[in-house]
Amino acid sequence: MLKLERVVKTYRSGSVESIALNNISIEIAKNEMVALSGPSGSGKSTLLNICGLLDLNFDGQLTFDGQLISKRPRDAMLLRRRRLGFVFQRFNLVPVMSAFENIEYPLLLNKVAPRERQLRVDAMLQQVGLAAFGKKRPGQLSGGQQQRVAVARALIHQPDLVIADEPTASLDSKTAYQIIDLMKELGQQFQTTFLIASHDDRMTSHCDRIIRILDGELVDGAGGGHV
Amino acid sequence: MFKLKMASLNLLRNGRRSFLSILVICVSVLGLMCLGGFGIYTYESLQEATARDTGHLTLAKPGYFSQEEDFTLQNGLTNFPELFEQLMSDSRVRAVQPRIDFSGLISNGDKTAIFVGTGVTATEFSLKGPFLSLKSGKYLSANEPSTEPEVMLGQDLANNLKMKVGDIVTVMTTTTDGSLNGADYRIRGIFGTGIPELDKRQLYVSVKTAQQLLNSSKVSYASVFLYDTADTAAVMADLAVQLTSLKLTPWWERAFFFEKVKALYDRIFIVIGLIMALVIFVSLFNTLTMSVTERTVEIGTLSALGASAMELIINFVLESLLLAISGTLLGILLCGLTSVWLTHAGIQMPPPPGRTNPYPLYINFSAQLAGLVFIGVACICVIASAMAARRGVNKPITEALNHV
Repeated sequence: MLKLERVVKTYRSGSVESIALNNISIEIAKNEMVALSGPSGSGKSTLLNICGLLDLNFDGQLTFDGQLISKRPRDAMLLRRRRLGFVFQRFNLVPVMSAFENIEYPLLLNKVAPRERQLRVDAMLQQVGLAAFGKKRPGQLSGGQQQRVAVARALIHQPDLVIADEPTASLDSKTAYQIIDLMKELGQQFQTTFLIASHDDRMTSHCDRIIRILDGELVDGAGGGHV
Repeated sequence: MFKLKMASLNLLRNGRRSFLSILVICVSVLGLMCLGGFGIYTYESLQEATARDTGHLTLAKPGYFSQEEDFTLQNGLTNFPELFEQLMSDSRVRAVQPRIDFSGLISNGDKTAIFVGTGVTATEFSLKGPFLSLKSGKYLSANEPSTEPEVMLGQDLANNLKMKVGDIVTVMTTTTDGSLNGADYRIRGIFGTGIPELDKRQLYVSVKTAQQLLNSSKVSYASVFLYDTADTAAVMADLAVQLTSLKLTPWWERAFFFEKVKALYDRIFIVIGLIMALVIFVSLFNTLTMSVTERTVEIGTLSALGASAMELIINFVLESLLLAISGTLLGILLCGLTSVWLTHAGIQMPPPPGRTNPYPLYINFSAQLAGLVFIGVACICVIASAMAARRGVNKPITEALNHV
C-alpha cells in the first residue's frame, strides 16, 4: 500500500546540515495499523510528514498503491492528499466550524453530494458517540470529544491511509484508551491503514506492528523485507 | 453558502478588529462619496449656470467668438426674426433669445465710466431664473416705453456713478457705421452678478434700445434654450444640417469656468481617492495579515486535509469582501443621510475666488458614484486579502502545522 525506498531527509540551517532521516525503507500493507515509535527528535514526525505527503522535499522514493508519488505534479498531489486522513496531537479542529462541519469538511473537498454528506456525517457522529454534539463548536467540547471529532474527520471519507501524530498525547489515560479503541474499531470497519507516531505504549501495543527509529535511522519493524 | 458562513464566523472571531476595518472602509467611503457628491453638485450647478447663462446652443456668424470685430455687430445676425421662427418650430426648443454685445461710455453728467453692455429681451430674466441678484428696482419692462428707454446697472457701476433707481444716465457708443451716438436712459434696476469685475462694468438694455443706439437691426448672436440639457448634442446636430451658414456652439464650449473647476476637482478627487484607497489597502492588509498569522495552524490543517491554496485564498478574499460590503454600505448610507441633512441645514460655502456670493453646501447622492466606489473598494479588498493570504498559504504545511 505504502512504500518508502531509501528515503533521506536533510535539514539545512545556513551551512549546517543535519540528517533527519537516513536511508529509510519501509513498507506498509493495506489495512495495517502501524506504530512509529522512537524518542523525541528521532525523526518520527519527519517520516510521518513524508508519508502524509506534507513534506515532499526529500531524496528517495515514495510509492502509493504502486504509483510513484515523489515526482508527481502539485494538483495530483492535492487529490492524493484528499484520500488521506490526519489526526493531530492538538486535534487541529477549525474553531469556527461545528463538530458536524469539521467532520463534513473532507467530504466537501472530495465533492460528495450534500444529501450523502448529511447521512454519512450523522452516522459518523453516532458512531463516535457525539450524536448530540453535532452543532457544538470545538471550544464547547472536551479534549476527548474534540479528538473523537478529529478521528471522525480523518475517517469520514474512508481514506486509504490515516496519519496520526501522537493522537493520545494530550489526553488522560481513560480518554486515551477510548480514542485508541475508537481508532481501532473504525479502522477495522473502514478497512483503513493507520500510521501512528507515538511513544505512548498504550497506543503502540494496540498496533499490528511497531516501526522503531532512532536518530533518523530504522531500528526495527520496517516490514516487507526492506529493513 | 458554506464558505460565506465560514467567512462571517471568522470575521466574528475578532469582532473588534473586524469592526475597526469596517470603520476604516466606512469613513473612507463616506469621505469619497461626500467629496464626489460635492463635486457632482458643483459640476451640475456650473453646467446649469453655464447653460442658463449662454443658452444650450449659441448661434452666430462663423468667427464671431474667435475674431475681434472691427466695429460693433460687424458679424451680427441680420435675419433674427426668421431664425427665431425656424428655431421655435423644434419642439425641443424652449426659447430663443437674441443678444447684442456692445461697449462704450456711461455718464452721470459729472463722471464717466466704461461699460460693457448687453442687449436682451425682457423674457431673459424670467427665462434664466435668478442669474442676477436684484439689489434695487426692477428688471427691464416687457413693454418698454419708447419715450423713456430703460437700463439696468451693475451695483458697483451704479455706486461708481453715485446713481440709484429712477435716475437718468447718458449712454454713449459708436454705431455700426462708426459714428458716435448717445441717449439718456432711466435706471430701472440695480443688480449684482456675484462677480466684482462684472458688477463694475455690466449694464443691460433691451435689444430694441441697443439696436437704436447702435443704429442697426442686427443682433450679435442668438441663444437657444432647450427643455432638456441632455438634448443639446442632438438638437445641435439637427440644426447644423439646417443652418449651414451659422456657427453652432454648445454650452460646454463656452463653459470656461466649468471646465477649469472640473479639471481642478477631478484632480483633487483622484488624489484624495488614491489616498483613501491606500488607507483601505494598508488597513485591510494589516488586518488580514494578522488574521492569516493567527490562523497559520488552521491553514496548515486545511492544506493537509487537501484544501488547495486557491480555496484557502478565496476564504480570506470572501472575508475581505464581507468587510468591503459592510463598510461600503455603511459609508454610502451615511453619505445619503449627510446629503439629506445638508439639504435642510442650509450651510453656506464662502464665495469662491473672484466671486462675491456664497453658495450652499450640498452633496449630490450619486448611485453611479456609489457603484464605482464599491467596485473600487472591493478590488482593493480582494487584492489586499489575496496578498495577505498568499503569504500564509504558501508556507510549507509542516511549518504551518508547527506554528506557535
